[in-house]
Amino acid sequence: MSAIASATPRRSILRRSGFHRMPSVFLIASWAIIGTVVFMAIFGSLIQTHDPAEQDLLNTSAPPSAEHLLGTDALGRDIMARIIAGAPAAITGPLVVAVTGLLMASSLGILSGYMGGTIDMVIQRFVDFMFALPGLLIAIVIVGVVGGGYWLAVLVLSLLNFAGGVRILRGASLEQRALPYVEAARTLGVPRHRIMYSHIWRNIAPIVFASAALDFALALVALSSLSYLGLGTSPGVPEWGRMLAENQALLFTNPAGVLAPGLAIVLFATAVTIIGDWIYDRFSFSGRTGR
Amino acid sequence: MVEPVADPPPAPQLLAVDGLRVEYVAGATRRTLVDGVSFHVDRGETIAIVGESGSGKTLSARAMIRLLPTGVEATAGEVFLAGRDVLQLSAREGARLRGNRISMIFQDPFTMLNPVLRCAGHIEEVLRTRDTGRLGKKEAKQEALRRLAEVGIDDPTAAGRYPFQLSGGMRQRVGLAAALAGDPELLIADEPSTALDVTTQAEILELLKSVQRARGMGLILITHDLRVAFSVADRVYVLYAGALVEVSHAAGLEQEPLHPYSLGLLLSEPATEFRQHKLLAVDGSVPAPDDVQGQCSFAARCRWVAPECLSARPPLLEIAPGRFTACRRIEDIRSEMVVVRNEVRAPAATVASPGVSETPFVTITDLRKVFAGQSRAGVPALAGVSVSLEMGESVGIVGESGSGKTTLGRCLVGLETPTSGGITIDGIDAADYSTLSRDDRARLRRTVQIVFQDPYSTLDATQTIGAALQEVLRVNGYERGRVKARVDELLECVGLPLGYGKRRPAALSGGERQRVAIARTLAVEPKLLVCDEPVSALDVSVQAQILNLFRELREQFGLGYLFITHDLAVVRQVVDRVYVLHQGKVVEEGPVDRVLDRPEHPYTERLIASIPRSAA
Repeated sequence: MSAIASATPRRSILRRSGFHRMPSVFLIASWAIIGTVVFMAIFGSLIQTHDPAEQDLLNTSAPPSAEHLLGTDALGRDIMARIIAGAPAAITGPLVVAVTGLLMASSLGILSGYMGGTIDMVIQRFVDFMFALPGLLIAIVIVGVVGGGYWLAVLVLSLLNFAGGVRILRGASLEQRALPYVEAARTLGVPRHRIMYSHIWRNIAPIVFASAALDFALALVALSSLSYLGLGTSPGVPEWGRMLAENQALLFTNPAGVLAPGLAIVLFATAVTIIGDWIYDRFSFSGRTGR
Repeated sequence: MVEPVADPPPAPQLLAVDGLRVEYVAGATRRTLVDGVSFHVDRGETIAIVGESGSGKTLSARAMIRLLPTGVEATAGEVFLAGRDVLQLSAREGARLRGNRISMIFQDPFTMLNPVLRCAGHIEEVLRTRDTGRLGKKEAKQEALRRLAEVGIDDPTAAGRYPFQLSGGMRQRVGLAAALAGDPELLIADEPSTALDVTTQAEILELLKSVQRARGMGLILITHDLRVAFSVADRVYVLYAGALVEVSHAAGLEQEPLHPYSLGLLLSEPATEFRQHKLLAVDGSVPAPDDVQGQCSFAARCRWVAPECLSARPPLLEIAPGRFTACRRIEDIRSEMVVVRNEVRAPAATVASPGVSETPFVTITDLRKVFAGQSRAGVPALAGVSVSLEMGESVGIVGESGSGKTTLGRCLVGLETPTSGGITIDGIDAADYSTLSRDDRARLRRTVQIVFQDPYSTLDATQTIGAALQEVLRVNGYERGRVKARVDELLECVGLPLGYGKRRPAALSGGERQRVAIARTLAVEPKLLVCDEPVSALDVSVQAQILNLFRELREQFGLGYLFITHDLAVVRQVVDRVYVLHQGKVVEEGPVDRVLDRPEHPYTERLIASIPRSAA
């Protein structure tokens, strides 16, 4: 037996240098971003150095300084303070949309996939109809006509957003339905609702949560877009999408005023998506190992 | 190492593997998968590597052609092919090796071929990328046809078809032709016949053997089935928990295995010719190689284990010409092993079948089932099948895939509704479960239950074993206070330790999962169990355990079986009467001994003829 003459030396340099662990760097960063936003949302008021509404009219459109870390906007309000104060709106609205989507998609998707037949047909035609609706456009019209407001936007998005989830979970349930454990439960007399919402739901839970995370990110972007158009939060309320719109004029005097809310939206949405993906990878097929 | 005794001039070794070690490496965790395996193949020789799942047989082969999955590495040893150490080659050199010098065909003919490539395309692709003399398009096409003819596909139109248009056996042939397109000196066949029907299986093995002879190439056959190994190989390597336990020429091993594990493997294979008094089952399952370091890997499951077996890993020693064993105690136990072999091979008294009475327990009359989209294809899943069962009787349904045997079982438990025909179970009309009253349905569920083939998806992976059993008891109105005690009873019935109630399916082996699935059906105290290939996904040694369990449960509870299988040996061991199904019709029926010993229908004869037999 020769000593450690192995197949490894010629393996790619990237792998050996630990490059394959890169995804975990993204993962840690994503958790850190989500943690930061959640922290800002809960304890934001305790770490604020400025009142987000306080106007320093002598110091408007100022670039970043020691006093104002991200500078000030056109009304002299501290950008940093407004980013922190915007965190709750970046979490609650999307969360409501995601949870509504999760519940609707789970119940309708599994029902549709498991029952099949007429029930499936009706639900799928309904979903087709929902898909045909241009969601954001309708939100713009409704919110515009009724007169705006954050919670109205959240409500409209919640109702318009779950169709995709229903389709995904229908497909997943169809796949589970044909597996012996479901058929065994059927022949053993386990009631339908238990098969659907206990057995199948638990087995497709990774998909449910991954799709909810995706919904969350999409809702965050959609809500920010509505605010950007002036249809979400009312003027004066700190919200990232609205800040993006308000501070556009500052692009040449205090770029941080535009970049900060924009980056906040992009990073937070990306982080949530990555974590959703991770949940799926981490928990799907668990329990099926040992094959 | 060994040279076959019959070879006068020592043939040059084609491939020599020495001390191969394969490990799973992820960060700081290392798991041994193959632990120092050595073997060799001469030109024109066929060897078989035999082992159960987890023995490391496939990984050893994949290490040789540098096709290990990510995270799995060959960390020690040498693999010499044509004078070069394969393990030292760069990835590019390794790729050039594959196809040209060494080639491999895989188990699953359904995923081995690229679905968007025509059959000839698979072969042309290899032909045109070869180093020697590039072929033009036209020549490649001609050559591909010639290559397909070599593997028995004479029909030139087959070359232009897509894989999905071909049967499993045909696909395996195309796969073989593609593997041979580079004219390799060594072919590795990884369970090439396992996924195929019995009759096709025999054809593919025959083809492999003839191609190997005609080309004079080396062949490594990887299989879990000793009978398959004996029918093809010159030399057999028995692998257990990542290490070799016995090496022998095929004839010697078949006559007298010299390691308790080989003996167990050989004997747990049910006999086809007669019903055995009791099947020899090797208790437990294959351990992880790391758990049995520094001791005989088989010690925990060996009935002859002695203290010296646990103190060090026994070396592989030559005890007779061409016979190597890793059993330290072989000289002491050799005579005892012979006794065991004779005992197990003793036939039980022939089974008496009382025949069917006027009012059988289950009557299936003229059952037809046509699946949507199948009507145009012409052949329905079931085309008028009539079967009857007495209370407590064990009846076999034998047939190949597509014979409709599974559909029949599924109709019986209401998972499929027949297109026409009648099913009566214990006086209840069970043709269409959806029209039954709630009470009748509940009564049927307590009468007939089903055990499925795949032990890995038959249990809800998110539920503990205890919870799964409790759920069944509860929904069937079992007294609340007694549920826990009943779960323990059920686990005991199927021979599982009580502690298993807290485990999840992932922590169980395939055989254990199948036991849980059986316990789950016993929870409703059925009178008839539909068993749909319940042991075909299990390792042989475990298969015998489960078959014994079926026999015990029948004695204990008077349980009747509708045993659906493609395996004639299994049928012989557990049923009284048998129906042979072919293309949705019963072609022959009768007492199992009569049907298997004196088949009347040509199809039954063909089935019996295709059971693998030794080359001798």
